[in-house]
Amino acid sequence: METNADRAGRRYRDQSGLWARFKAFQAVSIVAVSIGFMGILVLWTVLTGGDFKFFTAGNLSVLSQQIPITAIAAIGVGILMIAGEFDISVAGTFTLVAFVIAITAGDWALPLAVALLIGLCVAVMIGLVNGWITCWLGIPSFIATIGMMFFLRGAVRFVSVNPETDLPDSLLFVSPEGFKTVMTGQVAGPIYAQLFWLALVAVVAYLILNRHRLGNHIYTAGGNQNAAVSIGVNVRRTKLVAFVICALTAGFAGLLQATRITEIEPSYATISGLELKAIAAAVVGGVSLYGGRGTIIGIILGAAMIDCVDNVLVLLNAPETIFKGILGAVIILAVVLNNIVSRREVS
Amino acid sequence: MRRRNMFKAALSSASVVAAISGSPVVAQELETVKVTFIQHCCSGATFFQPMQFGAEEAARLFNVELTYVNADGDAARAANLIETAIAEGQDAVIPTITVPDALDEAVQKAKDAGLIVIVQNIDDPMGSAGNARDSFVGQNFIASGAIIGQKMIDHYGLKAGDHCLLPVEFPELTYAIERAQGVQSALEPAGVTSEIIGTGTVDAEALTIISQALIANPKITCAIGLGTTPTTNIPDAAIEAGRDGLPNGGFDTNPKIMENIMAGITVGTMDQQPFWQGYLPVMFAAYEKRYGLKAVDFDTGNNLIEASNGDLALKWGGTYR
Repeated sequence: METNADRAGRRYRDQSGLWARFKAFQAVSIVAVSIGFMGILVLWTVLTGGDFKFFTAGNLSVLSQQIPITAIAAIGVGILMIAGEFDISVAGTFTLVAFVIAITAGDWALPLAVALLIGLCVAVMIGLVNGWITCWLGIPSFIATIGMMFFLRGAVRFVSVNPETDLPDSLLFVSPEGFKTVMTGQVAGPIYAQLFWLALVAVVAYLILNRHRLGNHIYTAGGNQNAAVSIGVNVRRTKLVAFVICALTAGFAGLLQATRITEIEPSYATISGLELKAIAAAVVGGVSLYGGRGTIIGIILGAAMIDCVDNVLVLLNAPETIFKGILGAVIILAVVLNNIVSRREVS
Repeated sequence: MRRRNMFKAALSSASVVAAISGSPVVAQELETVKVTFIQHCCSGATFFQPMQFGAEEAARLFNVELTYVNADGDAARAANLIETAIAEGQDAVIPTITVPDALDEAVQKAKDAGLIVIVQNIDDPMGSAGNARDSFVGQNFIASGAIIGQKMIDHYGLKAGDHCLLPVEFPELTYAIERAQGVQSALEPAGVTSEIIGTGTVDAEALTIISQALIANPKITCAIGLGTTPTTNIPDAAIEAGRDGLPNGGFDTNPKIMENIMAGITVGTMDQQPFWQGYLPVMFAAYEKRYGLKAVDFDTGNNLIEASNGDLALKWGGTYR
């Protein structure tokens, strides 16, 4: 039975004229940018007589293995941002969950299914702690999850200690061949299993955000917290669930990466920059930094855009020194556009 | 084995000299060879400047179209970059194997696609038995560790009861593990104990971590940096901790390390000569692609730099050194 809060949230999300037009514009905008970007790449391929290798099967294979990792992590981060919060600890969750699964399945010789369950429980616990500190203790999520980020970096180093050397060490994750095929196997040509996992996560996330009352509550809690409270939305519980979703997607992305690479590095938690990359993907995809706005398709396209820009720069043999600069420029441009559109919404 | 390595080194050096000075064919007339060079770490780290300088110099001399990219310390990104090189139709790829098995699949794919794969800087601990790569150009970490360990004993008179701090950027990576093994192989017979700490690659953080370790543990009587960052920062950390004059040595070169050596503050450093690690793989790739000359393993670094032989290293820091 639909409650007042559900109806209000749905109205806020779907039926407000300006809001609906604006949200539609958000999705259309990132889709249009992506099409334009692809158009440029096609043109460049034609003009260079095929020397530009972006659309070769080999290169698309690389992208079909990389983009899902970024996009799955970004979907969780994006949902949390729509709920009006941040998580800076996703790289730690990503790495710790992979280590926990590899240790429990390897050193402890537990069945893989049990190891996966333990790993996902660890992710849920991280999300619950982040959510509890933020929503119940009133600590801004940016600060709370920075603390969690450092804690997880330490936890990763702790669990990665090699007993023979008493030092942190990388760890092999040797999974059964069938499991590896299902998680990361080549399906056909440049299509890898990670793409199907991304599609599954995207569909589930879409259904939660757009076809379930939780989605109404997430949009409402992020868009206007006071209004959400006044119409009966349990904001704290809603955000807690969003934190758990974020940690789960980060952990799942870590599992996919570990299955593909078969070796997990403790330093990934520290130097990968996944947390900022995931936030950047969400922002590029149209998620508002102020909460209450964003789409799953936008987040996926944002992640794809970031990984494709990086890939194109390698293919063009661009000087390494401008890589990060261009990526940063794309993100700044997206944030500026986001801000302009937000002002229009307010006015 | 040692004689064979020396032969390979002599052979390779001869080919370098011949290529630079004696070849009648100018670079522009040669068939272009396309090479992707994957530097495993981060942009801007001073250690890698001579490596990039060497790779670019070889690319100019041997008409190589060079793609020089960073993996940002991420093995998954390195694997992606190898597969991108395959997709681009490159002739060779030059990665680093920072963790033993993470690149096995990608390197095998590159070999299957017909690329020449030359590993630089850090190899699989099992060498060619652990990875499908063609050859390795880099330092023998264990041997060089033993040399600097012995130098510390000889120079400072370290003895039983001394305890050395071994700070290193990433203790879990192969270079750190093997250098520590080498250093300990020299220290332990003399009764000198040691402990390892991680510092990361940021100078300011490394300075703090090392100085705190020195303050917290007065038992430490010496320090050997197992990488550029800690070797650079040990002398300043000793001053901050009130331990000025702490016996110290280390690995790698940069202007600050060289200044400390020339001033007698640091006894010496094991130079792995990153210029060669950039230059030689690119040259090997070009020669193998054009003439079928197989790339060979090349130990670039049992070169102990001290105050007595450091002038050129100081002069050419950031380019050839």
